[in-house]
Amino acid sequence: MAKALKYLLVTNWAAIVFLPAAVAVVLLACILTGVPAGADNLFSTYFASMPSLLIIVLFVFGCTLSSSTLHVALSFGCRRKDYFLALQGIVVIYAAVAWAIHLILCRLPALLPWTANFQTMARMLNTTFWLYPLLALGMTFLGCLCGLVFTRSRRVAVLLYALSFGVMIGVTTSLAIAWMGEPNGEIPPAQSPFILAAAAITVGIVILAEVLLGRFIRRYCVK
Amino acid sequence: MHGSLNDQSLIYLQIAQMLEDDILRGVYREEEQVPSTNELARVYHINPATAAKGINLLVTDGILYKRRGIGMFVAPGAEEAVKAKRRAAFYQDFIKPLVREGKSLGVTGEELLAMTRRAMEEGD
Amino acid sequence: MEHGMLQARGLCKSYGDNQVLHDLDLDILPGKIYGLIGRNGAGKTTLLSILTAQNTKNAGEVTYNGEDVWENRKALDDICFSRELETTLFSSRNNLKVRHYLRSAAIFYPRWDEEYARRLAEEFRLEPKKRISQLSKGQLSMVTILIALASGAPITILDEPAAGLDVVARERFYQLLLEDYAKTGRTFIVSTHIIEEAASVFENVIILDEGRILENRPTEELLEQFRYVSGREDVVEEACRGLEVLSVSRMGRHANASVRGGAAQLAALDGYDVDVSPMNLQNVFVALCGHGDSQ
Repeated sequence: MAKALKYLLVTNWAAIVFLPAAVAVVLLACILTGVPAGADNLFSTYFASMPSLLIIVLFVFGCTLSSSTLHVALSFGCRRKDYFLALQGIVVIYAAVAWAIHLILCRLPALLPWTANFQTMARMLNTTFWLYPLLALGMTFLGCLCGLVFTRSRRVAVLLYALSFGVMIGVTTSLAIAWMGEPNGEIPPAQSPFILAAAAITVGIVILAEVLLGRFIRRYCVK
Repeated sequence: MHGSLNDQSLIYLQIAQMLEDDILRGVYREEEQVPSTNELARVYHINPATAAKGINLLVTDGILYKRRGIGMFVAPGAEEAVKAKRRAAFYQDFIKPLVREGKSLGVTGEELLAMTRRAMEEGD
Repeated sequence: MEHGMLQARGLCKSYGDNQVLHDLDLDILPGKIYGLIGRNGAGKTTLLSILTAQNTKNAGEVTYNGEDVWENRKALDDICFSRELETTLFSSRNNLKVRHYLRSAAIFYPRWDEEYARRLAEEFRLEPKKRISQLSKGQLSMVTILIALASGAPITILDEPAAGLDVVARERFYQLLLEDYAKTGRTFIVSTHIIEEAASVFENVIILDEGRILENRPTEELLEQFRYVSGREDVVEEACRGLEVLSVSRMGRHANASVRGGAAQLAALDGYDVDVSPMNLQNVFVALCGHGDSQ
């Protein structure tokens, strides 16, 4: 397993570094354009949507992660089980990095302090502690699945892409509805049915993606 | 396959024959080392096992012997051994084909013997 | 290098309705250089991919040291299957850099020799920064060869390593192969189209025809059984009576037959007024697998 994980890390380190690097660039741009003082410009929008943008980026990274690595790894004698486990490892790393960035971004305006108050998707996703990493995991796994399916059947992959985005929209809508029930801008309680629905969908996605991934990898043939 | 090997007979036989020819020509003298199987394999682009088979053939015939840890050496009396071996095969390999060819051309016994005598005289 | 035997028993493989391998048995004894020869579509790559647990089978078993190779770490660590590289990967250009590809190989093969790999890359003039899609046919073959040799795996399999190389490069390849074999004694299986050049390098030859193994024996043992017999057609016919005649070609009353038989039967040919000459491996292969195509 260690060899497979090392291989995935070596081939994808750029992606892992890209996440904090991109965020740092946006932050810098924000500071330079006076966002902390209340400016409402391009970069403030970027900053606000960062957490959800990160999730989309993770999905894309998931796609590129698996599409060529499985074939090459197997042709070098990697065990399918080892690849599957290593994939878990690297997806967790991706999600952890994204989560760390998200936590920092959410605390940042209050910490520094910045005068602007972002009532946006950023805070939506900050609703409950565990929802963001769960969503990050789910979307990355979905991305991996899409990437692998794409190598076999483009048509099915396109369907999957559409489904994934559908899921993501569904979950964020669910969160938005939960938010609307809190007129004071308070964070909705975790027991809110919409939060729970979103969580349930996401957990379902993670489990489904894992099962399908496992099956796909086990049956993959390097002809 | 490389160099002077051809596909007219099995490779290991050609290797054995080459070494025998070299012994007759004085390329390898008694108690001198002959090329190792790996060396032969390298030069002629053949499998070492094939080279080994050729060498072992000569060991069986008493033309080469092995010194443990060092390599293959020309046995004492190797030159005579090669000549004796070839002499024994001379009838089969040269005389019989000669006679057969002569027969198919309609060369009579006397003509054949006369030609042979002439060749021997010219050779001197 | 001590290691065990790779064995297949009753191997069957189909792609949909098309059966590619039929009830195949194979023993790969350690420490030999095997040549795997067969026509296009005979199933060479499929067989090799199943032996190395990279492809699935429909029936039969493949074992290494008595244990099934599928998902077997010990077996996978000891086997290297260096395939023909393609410039496209899943119908899009293969944009992996040579350097990254080699580094990936180094991660997976436990006995990878980095120094050796570097020397070979230098000799082959492979630019590490180039992408696989930018390599020429010859360079693609060289990457295949580099990986196979530097892997140091006890069982190393090369699929068409000489395909893209010119004749000088091919000679160098055979030389490198023999040098490595002389040093390590590891098992090599080389699958190739270019039969005659490589014949003298193979200790054993495996002939695969339409998904079945026709022969698996020492090259010389195989060649000893075959001859061309030519002369007047009635004499040839009589002379070949005790032998297996694979094909006969005629020009007027001249006949040229490819025959197979045991030592005694072949020796009997001397008694007839026919020309008897040996067949090289390529001739034998065409005689066995030509199926009278050109006749």
